Amino acid sequence: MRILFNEVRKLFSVKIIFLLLLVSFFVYQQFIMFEFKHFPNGRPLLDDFRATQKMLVDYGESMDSEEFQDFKEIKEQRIAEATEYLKSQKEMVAAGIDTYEEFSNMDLENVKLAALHSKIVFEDYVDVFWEIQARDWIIDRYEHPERFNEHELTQEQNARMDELVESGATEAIFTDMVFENYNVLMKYVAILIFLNIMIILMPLYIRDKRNHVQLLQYTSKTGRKLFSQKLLTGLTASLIIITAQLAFFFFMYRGNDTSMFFPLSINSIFNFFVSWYDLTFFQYIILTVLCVYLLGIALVLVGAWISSIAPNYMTSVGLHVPLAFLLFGTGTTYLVQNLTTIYLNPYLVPISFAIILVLSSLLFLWRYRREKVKNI
Amino acid sequence: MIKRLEFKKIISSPIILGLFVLFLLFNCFLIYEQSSIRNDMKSLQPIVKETGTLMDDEGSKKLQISHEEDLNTWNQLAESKTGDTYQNASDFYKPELYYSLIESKIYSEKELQDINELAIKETYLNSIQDIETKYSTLNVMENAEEGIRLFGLKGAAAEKVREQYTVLKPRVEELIQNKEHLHLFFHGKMFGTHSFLFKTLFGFMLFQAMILIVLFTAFIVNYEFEHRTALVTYATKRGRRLMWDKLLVSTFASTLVTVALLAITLSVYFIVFDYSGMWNVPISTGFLIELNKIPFISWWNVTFIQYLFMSCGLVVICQILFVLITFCLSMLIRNSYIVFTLFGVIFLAGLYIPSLMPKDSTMLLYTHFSPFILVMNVKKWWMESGVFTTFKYYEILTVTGWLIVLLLTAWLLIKRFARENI
Amino acid sequence: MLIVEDVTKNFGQFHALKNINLEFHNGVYGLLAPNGAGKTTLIKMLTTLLFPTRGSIRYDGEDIIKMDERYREMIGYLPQEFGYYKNYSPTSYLLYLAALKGIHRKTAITRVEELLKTVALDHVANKKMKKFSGGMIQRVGIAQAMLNDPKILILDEPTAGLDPKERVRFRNLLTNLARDRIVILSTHIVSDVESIANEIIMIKNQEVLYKDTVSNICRKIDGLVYETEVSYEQTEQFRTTYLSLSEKQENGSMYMRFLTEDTAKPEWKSVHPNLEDVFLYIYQDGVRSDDQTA
Repeated sequence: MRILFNEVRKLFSVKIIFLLLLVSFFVYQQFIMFEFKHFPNGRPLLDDFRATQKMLVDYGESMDSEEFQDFKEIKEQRIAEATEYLKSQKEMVAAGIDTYEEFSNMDLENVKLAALHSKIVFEDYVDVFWEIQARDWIIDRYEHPERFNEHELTQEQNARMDELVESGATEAIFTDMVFENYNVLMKYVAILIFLNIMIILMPLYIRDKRNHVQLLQYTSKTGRKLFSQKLLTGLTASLIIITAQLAFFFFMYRGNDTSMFFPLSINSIFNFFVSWYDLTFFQYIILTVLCVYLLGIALVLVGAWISSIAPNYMTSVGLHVPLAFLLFGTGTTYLVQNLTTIYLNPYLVPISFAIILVLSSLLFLWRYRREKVKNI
Repeated sequence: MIKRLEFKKIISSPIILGLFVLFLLFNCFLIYEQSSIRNDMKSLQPIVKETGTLMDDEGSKKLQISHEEDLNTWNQLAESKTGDTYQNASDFYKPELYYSLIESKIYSEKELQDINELAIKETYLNSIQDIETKYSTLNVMENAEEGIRLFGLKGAAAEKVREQYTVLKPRVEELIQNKEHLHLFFHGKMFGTHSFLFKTLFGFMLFQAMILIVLFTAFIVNYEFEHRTALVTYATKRGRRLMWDKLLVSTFASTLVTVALLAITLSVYFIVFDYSGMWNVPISTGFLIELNKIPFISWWNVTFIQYLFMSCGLVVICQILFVLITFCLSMLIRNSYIVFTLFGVIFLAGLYIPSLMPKDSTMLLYTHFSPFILVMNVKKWWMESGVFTTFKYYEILTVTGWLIVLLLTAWLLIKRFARENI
Repeated sequence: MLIVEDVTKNFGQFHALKNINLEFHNGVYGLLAPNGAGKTTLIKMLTTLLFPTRGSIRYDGEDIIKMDERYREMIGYLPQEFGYYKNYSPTSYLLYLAALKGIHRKTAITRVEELLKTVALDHVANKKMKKFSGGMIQRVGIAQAMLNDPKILILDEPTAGLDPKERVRFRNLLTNLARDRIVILSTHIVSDVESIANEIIMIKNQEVLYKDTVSNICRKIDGLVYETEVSYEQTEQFRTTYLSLSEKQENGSMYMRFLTEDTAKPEWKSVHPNLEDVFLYIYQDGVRSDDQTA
């Protein structure tokens, strides 16, 4: 335990912590903050979000047909409001646009009318017009859930789609905006975490090997067991990092104010994502977190292996380059994002994880057994 | 002699060589993925042979006549086969007819090929009018204003942008006068060759070369310290001036690596995609305009091949800047992997700094004069490139400025090293 | 009791050591050989860093590799190139190694304090080692080897970087320690071991040549070592005829100490051979070639 503690402390030197903070700061600034600051990103997404939030308050977790009628009625009210607004605008009345009906059928090829249209929508940002548009979209989605089947699907996929419609999961008031936003964020957070792990694990073995401290370590009572202790060190260090980063991330994510979506099914028609499983948003979040941990562990195994075989830092960094490329690209796309999506084989993710973890463990194990009988 | 030996340290490391090969393979893979459009691209060459690249009144007339002839030929064939005639080739692809035609296998492969080529020819022909309209109504000042509004620029910054676009204005007039915009080139909206070549491929190559260069520069500068030979080497006759050799060798090796990467990747690219007859087309041609409809307005009347070489040259110089940055970092920090990470941090910081500047300060624009922002935007080098970087000599000023500052820094650091206690 | 039995070590085609047989009891053993003769190989095998190609090393009858940590628990080792962390203080560095050596934390703290006093580093106990001199680092190394109060203390070139005063202190320390433990001291500096080693082990051509007390070894060339005065003009000639052991200029002529099996001439003064003479005699031809294999 004390050895582990000592080794972990060696990894978290002041210099390295400072470096990690710097990297995290810039990655946050460059890639992540945007998704916080601009959520929902512009209009009409903002209006869509507001309408959805109101739906949640009014109807609870899902919208049945009765509630849907109510929703449509609200839209009619809004149209009335819009008409009133138009009537109050002299130029609009002058142009003969004094109902919402006329407004939505305006001839936008006509330069003069187009200018009036964009004045209301883009310059004055009159909320009600945006809201109607957002509500239109929601109504359209609700009335045409069959759009799910646009893609060419296999029998299983079709069956799953039907099952979802039947079970009512599709009626959940869950919006793709929240889902997309979370997915993008999680991808960057995962990349940042992996980057951190790579940085901190780089010296794990190389340092003591190049330093000749290894001679003392291997002749001490602990001896070559230290090799596996160091793996444990790597795992501990990265678990600390993953947990700290995720904690910070979710603290920031609270600002996006999406907690009311947690208990809702992600298979809603308002979300473009379809899962093989009946997951709520919260369960999906847990799943992504789990996957980040698992990938992190696999990365520790591979990173430790690299650190133990690389003769110098250049080689070590060099070997990390293709690894980063795979992990940040393909890795996060399939193993952090799009989890359980119906468009991929349901076994892809678990099998991939099994293979990755087994292979990386074998790689490390092989190295460990050689280390035991190695001439130093 | 010593330079050769230092150079050997770089070349003899398998990881550099391994990564280099891996990167090349990856670039080939990118090209392979894109290669499906090569046959469609090829149908431009016969057109150019027939009409030349310039599509002024005369050229477009020729193209139109040629198109009409081909369409007639096709219609004769079509009439004999199905009794249909077509107003234009694209009608053939209307979904309500196309699928049944294909399924009934009325037309042979060769004939389908012909109509495809005809449709492509038609696209080029139809684009001429669009391009002419676009350029005759093109007002760069409006673009500037739109950019200013979009990014919320104010005060001095906005003024500076207007100033730059005022400089650009006569160039646009000249461009139209020269009819640079009317030269046939691979259709941007169909093929997006400019983006693929100068954004995707060049972007990847820049980063690949950068990774290699930062790696080996950090490696050889601190080689002596990592191998505990510092005491011996720096006490020799050559002594601490060895740092100059190391800098020189890194620069040389970086140039070599970059040139090799560019040469091999581009060779593969131009073998896969036939550019014959296109080399001397002005880069500002309207045919290059891609789906975002933003025209390419180069500051000078340069041809594609000139543009290509100018860009390659700039890539090489950018890599020298990266060598210098890494070198300076390595002189301060003796741990190569921390240098590598810090380089990444500095890169990100370089991209981040402009966002800290007030929206009304010209500093907002000047902070864009950094190699990090420069390399993110290869596609728009030597061109109008949005409000922040549209300066006539943006590229040249950026690299010379940084080159001077970095060389001075490197020189100072070597000086300092000469007196440092090892 | 530590026994090396029929140990051979090959690195691929290269034979580093051949059929080594040794026995260690409590006391100081000087491992004396020129650089590259296989000293470090032997030491690394005694510390389990290398594994014998053939033969075995046993402690109290048990194979040290099988003993694993029970063996390593008993050894203290100072390697030739010993590593340390620049940003650590001697205290934190020694505590780090104490943890690896499985010493209880509380015990370790007092032990470290004690040892730093022993090696006269208590005044810099909490300073970073970055600025330490070579001698100070070496003393930290010596301290770490003694951390676990080892039954077997193995020191590879321990006196490198120590000044004469420190050397004397160190020798006394070893003599004290050796009363109830095995101390194996590898060196090519003869004077380090001459006065304190109970036995000297000499390795030549990958094999053990001698393992004996200093006086017994010196006796091998008893009556062969002389001193005489030679004029400058004759020195060159003299060197080629006899094996010169040491030379000293004095009063316009050369005092030569040399070794020969020829009958003594009257102007030669017969002297008692010392260990250095034996060393030079044994390795007179082998030094160069051994160096190349190193």
